[in-house]
Amino acid sequence: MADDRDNHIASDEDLLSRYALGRLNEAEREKVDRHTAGCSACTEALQREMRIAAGVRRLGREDLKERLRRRVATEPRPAGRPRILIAAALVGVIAGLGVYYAWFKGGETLPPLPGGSPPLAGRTESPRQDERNAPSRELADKVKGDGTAESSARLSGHLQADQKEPVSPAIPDAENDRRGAPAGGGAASRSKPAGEAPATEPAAEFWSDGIVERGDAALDAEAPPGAVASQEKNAVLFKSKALKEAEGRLKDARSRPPAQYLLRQQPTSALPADRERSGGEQQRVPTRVNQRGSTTTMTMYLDSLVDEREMTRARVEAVSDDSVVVTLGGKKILYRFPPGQSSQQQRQK
Amino acid sequence: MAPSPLFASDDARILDRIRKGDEGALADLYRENRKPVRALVTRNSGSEDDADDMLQEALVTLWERVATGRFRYSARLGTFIYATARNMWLRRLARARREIPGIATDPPADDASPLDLMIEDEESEIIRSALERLGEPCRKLLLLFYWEEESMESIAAQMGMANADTVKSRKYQCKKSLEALIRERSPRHG
Repeated sequence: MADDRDNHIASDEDLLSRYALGRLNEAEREKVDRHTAGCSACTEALQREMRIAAGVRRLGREDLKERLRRRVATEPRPAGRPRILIAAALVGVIAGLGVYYAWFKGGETLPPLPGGSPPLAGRTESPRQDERNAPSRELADKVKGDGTAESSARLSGHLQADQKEPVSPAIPDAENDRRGAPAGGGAASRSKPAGEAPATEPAAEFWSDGIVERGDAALDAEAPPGAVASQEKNAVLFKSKALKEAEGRLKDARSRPPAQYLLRQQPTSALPADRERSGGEQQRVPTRVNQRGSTTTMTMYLDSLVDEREMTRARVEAVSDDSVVVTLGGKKILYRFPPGQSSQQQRQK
Repeated sequence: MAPSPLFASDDARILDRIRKGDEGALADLYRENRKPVRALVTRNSGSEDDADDMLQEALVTLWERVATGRFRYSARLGTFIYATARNMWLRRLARARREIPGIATDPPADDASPLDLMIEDEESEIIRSALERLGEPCRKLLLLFYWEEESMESIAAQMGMANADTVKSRKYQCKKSLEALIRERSPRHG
């Protein structure tokens, strides 16, 4: 009798399926449970059915998940994303590109550089107290304003005093020069360190804020998931155009006789009191620029100092007679010197 | 406690789309719920990939329940998705820890059915793999029956079979073929 009942349940395909799929009502389920409690063949049949149901449903779920993955990967617009983040990211990108593009677009109207610039010599310095006494904005503005010999001469005195300060003792000048020599041998082409320039040569010093160009990696990292792909694509295309133009100028500049740049870094804590860091979307790098003879020394004030090896790999390249791009630690920092100041080659003319 | 009517109207629209088979509704839910689920999983020993996987599983569970009429709306969809992803992740962690002697973690108690738990089990992967090898039309027939939970009559119409009895007979043959494939791969599952 019991065997008959067991065989009946074990061979009832419909009942087994409905049990596995949870389609039985409470009374039916209890009945099956009571029945199978004493029937090993029924229990086995039920387990087989449930395993098959689970496997098929898993296949169905995997198929649906795959379609979902493909859909979210291709559809650009989220319905309820934090739009303010997207907007902020886009504003940042567009503002950055605008500045970048306007910069180099403006450069097109300027006369070409008489001389390009090779890679620079890098140097890391420890913070020095005298850096806090760097030229005031007022003084720098005077240089920006007229750029006359008189202004330069006045600045020259300050510069001479500044350069008497010892460089970090851990890295002697000679070592610095060696370390600073990039593969291209830019440092080797230097006739002499900046500090050795004849005292009679006019010098100028001014401040310039470098703008850190945002790369694609930064864009990807900051864009929230599901950011508008098409707009990003347009932004990247726009940036590519600006970069292409800049690269064209770099190519021209590289074919010209080399200039000499010396790059230094200081922590922002060493910024003079009157040089507050600029806010806004763009990351700015306050930089003191000292031009003497054929050497331009750029002291960058950075939030975090760059590794010595990165400094030695850094490059400075002029893209017009008043614009310079510093490539440091994988980032491009763009400078446009103020009116009245231009590349030293221009000044030498 | 019933969800706020303000949110309920949004959720009702989403549920409506799911009932109509609009998979785009899942994509919208995916984007809306990605951040909290990612935060949950990544703060609990998981990666972002794990988090995405849990979110997809939770969404598929929602889809499954709505499509089969088993979904009960008792909290906002976002709450349901978060809770489902959380429970699934805790179960996965519990399974992983069971493999490490000396560490025991009880899986959370939730409304997952025995079948749900079997689906998450590795054994179902063996069957899924066998199903892939089974080929058509068995694959489609079994999916329509066990996944879509279509009636025999509906399956007959969709697959061009004579009637429900033909489907029953064919389903039985398909299951036998599948069991043979499973035995080849894993004899203890015969």
